[in-house]
Amino acid sequence: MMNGCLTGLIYGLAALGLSLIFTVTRVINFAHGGLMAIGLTGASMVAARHNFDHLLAMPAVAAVLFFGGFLAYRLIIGRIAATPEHLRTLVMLGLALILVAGLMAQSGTPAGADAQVSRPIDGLAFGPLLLDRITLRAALMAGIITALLALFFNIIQTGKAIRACADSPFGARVIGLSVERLQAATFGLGAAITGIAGCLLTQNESGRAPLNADFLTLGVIVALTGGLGSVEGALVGGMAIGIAEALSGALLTPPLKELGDYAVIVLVLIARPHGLLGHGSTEHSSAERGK
Amino acid sequence: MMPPNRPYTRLIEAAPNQIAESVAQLWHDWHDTATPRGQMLGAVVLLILITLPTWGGPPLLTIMIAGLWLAYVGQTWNLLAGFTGLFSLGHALFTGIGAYLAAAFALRGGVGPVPGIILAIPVAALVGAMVGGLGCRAGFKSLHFTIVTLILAEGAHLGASHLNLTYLLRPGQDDAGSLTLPTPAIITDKPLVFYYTILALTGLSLLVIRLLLRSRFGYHWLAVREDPRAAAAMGINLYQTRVIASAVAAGLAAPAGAFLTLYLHHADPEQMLSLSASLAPILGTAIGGIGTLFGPVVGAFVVVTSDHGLAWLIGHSHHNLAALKPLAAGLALVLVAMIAPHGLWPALARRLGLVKAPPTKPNGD
Repeated sequence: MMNGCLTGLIYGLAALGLSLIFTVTRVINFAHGGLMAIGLTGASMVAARHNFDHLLAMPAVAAVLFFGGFLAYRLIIGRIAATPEHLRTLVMLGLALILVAGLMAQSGTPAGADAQVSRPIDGLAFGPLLLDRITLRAALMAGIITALLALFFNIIQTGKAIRACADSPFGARVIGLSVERLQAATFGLGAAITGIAGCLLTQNESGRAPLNADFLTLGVIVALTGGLGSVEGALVGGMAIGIAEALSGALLTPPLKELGDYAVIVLVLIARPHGLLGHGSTEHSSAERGK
Repeated sequence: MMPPNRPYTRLIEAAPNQIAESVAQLWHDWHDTATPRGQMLGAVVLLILITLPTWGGPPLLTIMIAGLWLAYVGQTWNLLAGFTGLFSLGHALFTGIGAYLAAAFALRGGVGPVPGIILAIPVAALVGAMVGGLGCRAGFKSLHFTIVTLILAEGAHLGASHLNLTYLLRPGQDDAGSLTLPTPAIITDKPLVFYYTILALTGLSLLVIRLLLRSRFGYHWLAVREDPRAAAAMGINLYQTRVIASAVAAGLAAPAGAFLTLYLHHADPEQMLSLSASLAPILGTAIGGIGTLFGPVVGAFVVVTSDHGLAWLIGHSHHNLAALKPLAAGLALVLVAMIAPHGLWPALARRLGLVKAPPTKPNGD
């Protein structure tokens, strides 16, 4: 249960990357899974080569992903921002496939399948609670990064400008913000966050051989559970899914633990179509915002 | 749903008339839209397709079956994405239902797979309605539908691999949800039969979709795609229209899955239900032209041909080039969206002078 909460923090961070990109640029980042896999493989590669800890490799991976995302947005995604939605979806799917191809070429196997880190199980007792030390560390990192992001968006000028873009691209342009550049920066930021979450997850999920689609659906489920386009929602959704996963893993057999995610999302979709914290917008207002 | 002044008995009584009327309408459509050159080409293509098994070898037949199959699935996907504006990423769920039901009946029913195929259509339509129902809730965004279809199909994928459907059908055999059928899985095993079946299915789907687009439902779908607000203002129930479209597309897609299972004697979650299975028709339709009638057909053959070429290249190369396939697919999607958003077919048809008026206006505003 506690471990589920901690894993949930990391899931939340991953979903935050997805959610951030969606809120500001109105595209679903289908390359989400690929980015997480890059974070995962990248960090373990750098760490293995220079023989130091994963967490130290993280900033490097994040920086690379930030600039990669920024460029991808400037060169490709930004150019089709005004086109109908289905074309944007196609482009994102295409980019995701290209990433998969890159990962396949790099590892020689279906993406991310060999990126595992062996680790000893390292328990840490807090009174009656038994926590996994590595999960705890990763979750703490995720928490810190989320807190930094909250600060960034609420206090720093650039962060506020990005929120303005999300609320009203037109209004943002009127007051003189460079919407395209901010959107590109957000895309880069989202990519970096996703990659970091991927790094953190490596440490946590040693035995799992994650494929891209798993990560993508996981991110999407978490974001949708919490409410697409809401920062707090991503965290709450992450927690909910983390706990559901831990519970269904404990109560049922471990291979079924991911099915718990799907049970949760279907329930959420039935009960609250906009997600736990999502606010309902009507079709009309969303159509206006989309254009 | 149905207006009370149009009860079902009257529909059934009027069925022969209806069919005659539909055929006449299709014939008129054909003459209205195709130029003489287009009509000539259409006739030649039809002749080639029908006589193909008499002069083409087995490898050609294999490619044709794959192409026609993809064209059929692309059609059903296009019904949602191209004509109703619902971009589905979970089409494999619908074909997968057909695949697994046909396999289940072939293995256990004792009556052969045919009842399974027939049963699969309403079951898939029901699932399609539920998917549409979940994906198109109030405050609809088309991306929301996309995500929901993705999640539900992936859920089914995972469920099929973990829950061991196999176990129910063949106790003691644990192979992660894949089913292998005895050969022949259906009365006969000749590629010829499969070829004509899929040719008939694809041709029929073209006609049915054309008719649907000319029906009341079809006009509702197009209206909802073009401008949901205006459609709602005209009194169209957006939710109902979308759910019906989803159900129809799902029902049409189910036989495709059944066909593939019987053709390959095999059904496994990776092939039938994974995300890449959903992506295949999207790739074909996007290349051919989303929202056009013949786009999925053209695109399917482009995809299948290049797929075979790539497979040959990968097989004959000393390096490990497996990454080429997703790379090519990804590049194709990005290029199509950026350079030719309307796909190959509309440009091709115009350039060659095959159609009089421009073909159905592609999706978008």
